[in-house]
Amino acid sequence: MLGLIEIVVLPLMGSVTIMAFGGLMPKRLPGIWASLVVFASFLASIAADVRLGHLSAAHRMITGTLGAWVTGFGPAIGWRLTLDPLSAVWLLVITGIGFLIHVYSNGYMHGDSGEARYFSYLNFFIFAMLLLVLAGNLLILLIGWALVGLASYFLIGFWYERTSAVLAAKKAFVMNTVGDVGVLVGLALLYLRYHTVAYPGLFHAFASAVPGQPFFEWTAFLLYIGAMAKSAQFPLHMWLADAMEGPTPVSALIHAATMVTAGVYLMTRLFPLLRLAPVTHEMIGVIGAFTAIFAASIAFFQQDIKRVLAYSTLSQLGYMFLGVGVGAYTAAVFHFVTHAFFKALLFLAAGSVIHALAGEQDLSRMGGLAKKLPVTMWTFLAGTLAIAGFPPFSGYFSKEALLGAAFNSGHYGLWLIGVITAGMTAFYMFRLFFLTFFGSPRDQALYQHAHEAPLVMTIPVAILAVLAVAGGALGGGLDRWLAPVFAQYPGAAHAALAAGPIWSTVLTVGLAVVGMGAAYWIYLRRGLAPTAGTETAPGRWMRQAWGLDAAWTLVAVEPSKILGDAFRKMERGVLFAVDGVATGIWAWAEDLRPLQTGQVRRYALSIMVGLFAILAYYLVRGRVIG
Amino acid sequence: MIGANWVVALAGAIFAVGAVGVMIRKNPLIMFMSAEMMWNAAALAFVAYARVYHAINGQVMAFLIIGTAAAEVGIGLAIIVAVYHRRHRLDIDELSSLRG
Amino acid sequence: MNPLLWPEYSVLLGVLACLAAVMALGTKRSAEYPVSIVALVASAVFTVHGWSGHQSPVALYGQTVIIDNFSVAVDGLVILAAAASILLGWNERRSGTDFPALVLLAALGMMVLGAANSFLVLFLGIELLSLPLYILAASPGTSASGEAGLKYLLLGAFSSGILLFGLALLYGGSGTMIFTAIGPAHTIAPLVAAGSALTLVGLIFKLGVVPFHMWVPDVYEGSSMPVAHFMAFGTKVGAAAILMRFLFFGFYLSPGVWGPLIGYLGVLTMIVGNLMALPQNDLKRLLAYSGIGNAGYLLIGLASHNVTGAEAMLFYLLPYGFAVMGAFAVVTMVAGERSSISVKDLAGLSSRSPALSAFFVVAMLSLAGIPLTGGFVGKFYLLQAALFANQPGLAVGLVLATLVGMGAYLRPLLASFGHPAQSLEPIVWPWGGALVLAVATLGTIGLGVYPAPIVQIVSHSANFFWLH
Repeated sequence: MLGLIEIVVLPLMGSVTIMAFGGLMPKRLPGIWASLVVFASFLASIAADVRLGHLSAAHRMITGTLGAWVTGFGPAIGWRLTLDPLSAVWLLVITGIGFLIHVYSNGYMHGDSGEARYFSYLNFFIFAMLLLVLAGNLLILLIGWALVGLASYFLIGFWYERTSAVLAAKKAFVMNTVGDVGVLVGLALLYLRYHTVAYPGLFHAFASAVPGQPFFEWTAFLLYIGAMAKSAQFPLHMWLADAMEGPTPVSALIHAATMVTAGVYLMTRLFPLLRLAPVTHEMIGVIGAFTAIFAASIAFFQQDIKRVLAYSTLSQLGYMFLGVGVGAYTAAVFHFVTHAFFKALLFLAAGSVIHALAGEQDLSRMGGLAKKLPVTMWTFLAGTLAIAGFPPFSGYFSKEALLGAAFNSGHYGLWLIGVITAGMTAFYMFRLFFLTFFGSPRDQALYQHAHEAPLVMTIPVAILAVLAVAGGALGGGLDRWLAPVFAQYPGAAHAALAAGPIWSTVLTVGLAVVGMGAAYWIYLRRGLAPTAGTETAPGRWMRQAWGLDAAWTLVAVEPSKILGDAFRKMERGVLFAVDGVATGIWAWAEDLRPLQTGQVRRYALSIMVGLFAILAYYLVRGRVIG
Repeated sequence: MIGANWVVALAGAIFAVGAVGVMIRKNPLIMFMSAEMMWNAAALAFVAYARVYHAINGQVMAFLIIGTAAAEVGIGLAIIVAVYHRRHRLDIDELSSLRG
Repeated sequence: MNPLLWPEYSVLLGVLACLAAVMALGTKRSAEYPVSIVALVASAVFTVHGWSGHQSPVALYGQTVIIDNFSVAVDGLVILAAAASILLGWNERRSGTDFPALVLLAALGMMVLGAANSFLVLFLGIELLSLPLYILAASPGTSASGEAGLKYLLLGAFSSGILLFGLALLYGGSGTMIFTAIGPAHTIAPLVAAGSALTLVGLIFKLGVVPFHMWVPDVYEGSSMPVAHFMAFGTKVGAAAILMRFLFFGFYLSPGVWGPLIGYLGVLTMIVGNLMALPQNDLKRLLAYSGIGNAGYLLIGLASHNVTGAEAMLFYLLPYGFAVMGAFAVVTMVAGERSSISVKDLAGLSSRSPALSAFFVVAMLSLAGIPLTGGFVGKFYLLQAALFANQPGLAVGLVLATLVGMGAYLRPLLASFGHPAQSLEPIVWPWGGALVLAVATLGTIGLGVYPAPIVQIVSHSANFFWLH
């Protein structure tokens, strides 16, 4: 029986073996080997989850220990992995969807010169992500947290000969480091106060603490900064769109399904802390809602198929944080699951399109591909319907749960933003769908050569499509599965799934229909080009209605540009300062060297001077000695 | 009978002479001899305190110091002679190729 | 003969056997190297046998010697240092036939220091350590060996004089020579204060603490590689051990007096050591200054004056030793027939010998304190000790010094990767050096990833009850 350690170590083993022997392997082997390793990890995860399910609700936790890492010296920090129902959900999604994406990558990356390197990184990412979610304490989590950032950095910059890829990787790394520092400092604060970083110890301490102390606000805020960077919440969102420079399966796995949800995981995991930090908790919801609508609006005018999906990921992450912010933890996790299904699906289907068009990602050169890529079209449609929240697709259920919770808890403003964003989501997703698959081909040359992807790519996509369609059925089960986690400590009274008023549902779905209709009207009936939106009447109407150009530029884009510039300047300034300090220290050290004259008598003098100083110290301080 | 404090004062004076000798003399032989004077000052102080406490251990220490000093002289003179053989001069300040 | 002292007896018998071998076989054929290794292995076996997690301390010879878990742990460290030095210097033509015997003799002195509980044994240990090292430093190997030996001898004799006079004053002030018997009663405060000051100077001179450090770089540079390695590792172990014995056993009631002083000296030492390591070109010199910086780190454990500090100090000696072993082994191999090399000579090491450069990276990262190496764990424990002792100044100093140190260790690393190779002659791997390198690298990574077993040992060794 494979335990927790094996689940984590298998992908690491895969990564190391491919890194070491990839050059010797026959061409296809690294991909197959990497996929098998993740599949083994997936099977082990299922086995572990089954074992977990057999435990009684109150003790539903499996622990694996590699021995105490630090014993004897003060409080122990264990090399401990823990599986509880919450991490179990992430575990299955990471290994399950991770496996499908590995399989898909076998087709997508075939023929790339860096295939072995790619699979080694991808396996390493799975290892790091598993370490993150299975961590039994915050220190191990932080190690995983930093390692997924590293893996993401490698994979964004995978095509390192492209300058844009290297720049994007650097940007992602810098922003993630801001978050890592936040987590590190938050962790240090908790450690200094409670002398432990293990979850149970901390949570027991939290359970008896009084909410609202500045200490809790600060630690929660610092940890939230980490979540903000990792999950690309405003204002640390900018790296995610650029991260699309990486290979498309990477975007599907890391920058949609798993890594970017690490922030949601962290915040959900730390719900007992959020109870103690009401201001920060509220802020999480507000920023989440803002990110949701903000990113949706940016997605309106994107010309790049992957960038639309990237902004939609941002928007959906905003939904999840909205759920966390209103205390609807189960709904947030539920949305994470369905989002992993439909967003992985959308990215992989988009990858098939890009693959078919020999790397083309620009919408203005697509169109009419439904005839050439029927499987991709149907699967993409399933994903689009799911993300747009049409019943009975999976996204409908999880989004309803989120909005219902927001409404029930009295966060009417957040609820309203969520509802409007749902309509916007339907619009930009169907815009993308129609522009890609319908209308007349805008680039005949590309269209002629388009071909459906091989089976190794279409089968994972089809499986994901089934999940995206039917995933909503998981809701009830998930609710029961997670209940013991949230019942253990105070702070998650409203964690369970709950329906909002029926008219809210009708409104949301109605807006989605309107969004879809608008997209249909503008881009199919009127047949406007993807670039339309500034010149045409509907475009102007939208600009006026949403005040996109003016308001967003003023409110968000400009400040974020300024912030981006500031970050760049800060980075440059820090580098410059480090350089200056280093030069200064160097010069100082050089100046000290002549003191070391090489003459014994000087050395003896130095000893004598030191002796007199110490003697003086002792005669002043040392009145009582024993 | 001379008081122990006087003996220790004498030891202190010898120690100071030795220490100053190490710092101001340029001949390694004399410097080495000055260091040995510091050792002997300590031995003298041990003997003086042994008499104060009517204990034997201070005297044992003095013998140990003398014995060790003899061993150290054996090694020290050998090193100094070896250096002299190579350079034919004995000025400690000239021995400063190792520095920085 | 006391059965508890067999680790020491083995080394002593090894010395006698080595001398006998020299006399019987002359300098043509030699058996000293294998004999010395056999003696060290025997000593290691006795050390392991003597180790037990719960053995209560045994005082021998009128309390002048204490055999406890601490002394056994020190024995282990010293044996490691001596064995690594002998393996690195396993070359009769270059190191000479006396080398193993002298290393063993100095190792015996270090082991004595680990068990010392009286002024007499302290002095015996210090001189037993120093006298062979004077000879080793002066033995021909580099162009400046005479200068190195003479400098070490003069300053060593000078500092021993200070130490002895300090001990005499302490004896006069307290009426006892036993550390654990120095009590508040019957003490003459000024004498004890002055005596403590002088004794402390004599001891921290051996550790290489600023401003008593100046002999260290000169002597290392003028000595051969294995000797410099032995001084960097072994001497630090002996000096740290006797400092812990002297201050933790003799003056545990007055940490308020010596604690701050040791703290100031520690911060000064680690800053100056790491700073001066930055512009060095000679690698032995660079490692010497790094050793000075690490002496400063060790003092943090002392200044914290708590159990964590004592444990962290004892623990730190091992990752430090592994890193020193690794660094010196690589440097020795790269140097080949030469007696010293500069940073420039490392250029292109990564292409000349990728394996060697990988080992070098591990050693340097550990010295710099990068996570997943033993050096990081060791520094982390020291930091923890300083924080538990409510001494944020020490912690800040440690972090600053480590930052400076990173610059110092980065330079040789960059050199080994960056420039094209200066020489393309293949690097010879002597088996002794390869063995040292393997142990050092495994140890460094092992301590970084899974330090728990060693931590267990350390916490049984330095868990002095009165510090609780």
